[in-house]
Amino acid sequence: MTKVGPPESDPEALLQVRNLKKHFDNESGLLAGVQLDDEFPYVSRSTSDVRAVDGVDFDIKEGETLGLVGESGCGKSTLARTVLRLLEPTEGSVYFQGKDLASLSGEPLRRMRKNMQMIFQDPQSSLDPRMKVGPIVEEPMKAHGMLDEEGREARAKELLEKVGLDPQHYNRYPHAFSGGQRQRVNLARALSVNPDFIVCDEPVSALDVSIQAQVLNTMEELQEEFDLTYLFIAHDLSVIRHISDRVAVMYLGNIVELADKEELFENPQHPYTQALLDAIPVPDPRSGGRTALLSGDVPSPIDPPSGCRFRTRCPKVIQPEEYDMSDGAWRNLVEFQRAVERRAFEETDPDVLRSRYFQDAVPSGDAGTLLDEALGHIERDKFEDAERILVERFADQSVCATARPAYEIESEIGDGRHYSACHLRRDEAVATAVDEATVGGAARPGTEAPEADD
Amino acid sequence: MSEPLLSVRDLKTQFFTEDGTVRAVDGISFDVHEGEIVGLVGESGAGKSVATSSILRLVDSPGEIVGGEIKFKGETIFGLEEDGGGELRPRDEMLTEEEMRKRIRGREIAIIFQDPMESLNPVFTVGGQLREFIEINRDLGTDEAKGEAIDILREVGIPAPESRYDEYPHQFSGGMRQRVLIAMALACQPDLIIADEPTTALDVTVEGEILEMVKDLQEKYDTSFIWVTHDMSVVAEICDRVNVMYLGEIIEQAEVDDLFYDTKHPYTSALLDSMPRPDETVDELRPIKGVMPEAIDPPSGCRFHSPCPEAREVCREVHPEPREMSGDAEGTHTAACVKHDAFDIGYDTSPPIDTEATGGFSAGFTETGGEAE
Repeated sequence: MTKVGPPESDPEALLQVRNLKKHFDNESGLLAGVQLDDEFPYVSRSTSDVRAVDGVDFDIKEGETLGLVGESGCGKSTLARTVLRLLEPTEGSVYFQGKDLASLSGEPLRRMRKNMQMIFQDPQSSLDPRMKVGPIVEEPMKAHGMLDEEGREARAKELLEKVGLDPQHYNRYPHAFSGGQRQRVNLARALSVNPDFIVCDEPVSALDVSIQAQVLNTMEELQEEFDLTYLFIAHDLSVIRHISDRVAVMYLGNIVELADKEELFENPQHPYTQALLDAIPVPDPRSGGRTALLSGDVPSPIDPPSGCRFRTRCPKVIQPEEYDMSDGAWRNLVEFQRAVERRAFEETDPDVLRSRYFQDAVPSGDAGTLLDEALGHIERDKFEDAERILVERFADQSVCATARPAYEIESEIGDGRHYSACHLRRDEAVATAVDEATVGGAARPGTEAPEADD
Repeated sequence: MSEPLLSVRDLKTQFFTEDGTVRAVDGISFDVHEGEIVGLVGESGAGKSVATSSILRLVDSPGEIVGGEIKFKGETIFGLEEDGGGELRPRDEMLTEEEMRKRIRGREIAIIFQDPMESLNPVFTVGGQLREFIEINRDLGTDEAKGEAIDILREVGIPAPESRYDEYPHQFSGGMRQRVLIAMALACQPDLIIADEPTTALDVTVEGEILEMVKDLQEKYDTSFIWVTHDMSVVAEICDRVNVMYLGEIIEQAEVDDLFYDTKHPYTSALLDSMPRPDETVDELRPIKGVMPEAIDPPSGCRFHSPCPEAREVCREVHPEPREMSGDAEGTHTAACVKHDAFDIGYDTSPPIDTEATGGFSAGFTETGGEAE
């Protein structure tokens, strides 16, 4: 990977994240990863990492809201915690107001933390049930030595009022509040030290829709009043669309697309974003429901797919260059390959399978021969062999599997930057890179070709 | 219309607590016809889950079904009558506890819960649990039941079902666990499946897949569903008819299209307005003011009058029962709001009242809850 230099001096950027990685040990302890073999040396040791966040770059400008969206397990929360250095990054840098947080420690880091606060998803478990809300709101001020006791109390009451609670509630315990109100207490606590930057990790997903709207409105008002910058994490695209200025879409530890809100929602340029958008239900019985659903599960982050991580579920995988199939035949082949991998059928008769999966278009030439071979294996009930042929000769040969995509393309709506990690965009890309420059920093057109990942 | 599969009349379920009687479900009536997906929508605390538990007679102490009637395929799941001394007692034809357990629950009415992890036993394999369920309920031998279990796992879209059969619940993702529960619900081919927020904990992509699958399976087996949810988008996608609940009551009941395009109750409108839209950018959300009051001490008159933007003096005094809105006798769209002509109790001449929605400082707070010590 390219070495990370100092960030381009972008005076507007409050936070710059460069090639950030966070890996977790899959096993821990004395015997972690120890495996026994029949042959010499009998005992071997190999550890596997969970690559929760694996090379992420983005910028957040002052006063904006960056929405971060993705399915559960894609690494959103780990990213948020790593950005705030609640988790130690494995690799990469986080520049906050020009200083690299990853290199800070001890007292300087503690003092930096005053400017960065976090709001958690569960309003119940993020408040100490044995503390009254007043002291809860005062706690961060105490930790950072702000004001004297009287001043803190006055400020806490003022903040409670700002977030839409009654200052009289200063002496109540968290259990006396509803979920929405507790999230407001969380907001007040985060605001107490007058931060510049707040990471909101699914702050409204535990709330009812009507309460959600109240809290979202309050958050927007506070942003305006206190000039806050939000990193707003959610899995709900409707909420993201409502509150964000720019949106980053995350899949399996990578950011796959990043653009201005309107551009991303109206002109999505990554198949994963498109699938996510198609999957959102619209509250309208006449909308005809969702279309183009994704199949299969998210692969394990322990051993993620090479190249583009979405390729195992992507409906638009690119055909390997060595074959010359029609588009229909290639789609059928991909579908068949995934069905074999999932063992979705028990049928072994090649003719039946042909008519089920290749009715409208059959691969010809080399591809046809390989398919015959695979069908032959299935007829002898050797699914593993069939799977091996289909995966090694087709799926692994696609450019999606051999190179990690990173392109910047022209925005259609607005003049913001539009990053899309999909090889389908390689012809229209204005900039190509696999390093940190593409996502949020200045473009360096044509500096680097996509690197092979393996 | 034909005889409904399930008919609920004036159902009342209450919880007797130290602080008083919680009227969680307070006189609801609805029908489920064959092959129909009926939605039950509302916010947390509206009484949706208590209503569905009542249908299966699963309400536990301190809760009790205190009134009303539940009929399923001509049999009485719950019904009371007066004995000689004016005391209420269960009717003779009411199904016994044993009949409920052996014949109704699981076999005729199945239920899918929200949290799939809590519904599966973590120390038994997924396949084993499914097999046992089929063995007991369908009187099949072990091997036969296993074959059946694998078939049904494949049908709900579990990849490589033979090998996953021997895995434990923690080895399945949330979406797959929910599929297993759906498989379990379908295993005995029940007539009615109660789905209690089955997709709420899932990602939209997975939710989409599961709803799609439910629609296919419903077509294939002609099963009826009661779909409990708080999500209007899911309602729009899957339901045929919808009941909107607020504080223990059904306040509007309509075909799904009418509910969205010809909304009659201000609460339903408010619920629809408060949602952010995925397909367009909304500048400002219009949240419902305040929070739902406690069912322990419901407000007088219309229970929604204090957050209601259209409330008038009469709303505080008169408690509306749902009435037919469409004017024809079939009864396809009912709502409990006095602003409609069907009520005719002088809403138009009544003066508007000061509510949380129309002003007042403390909008958004509850005055309830424990006081500080």
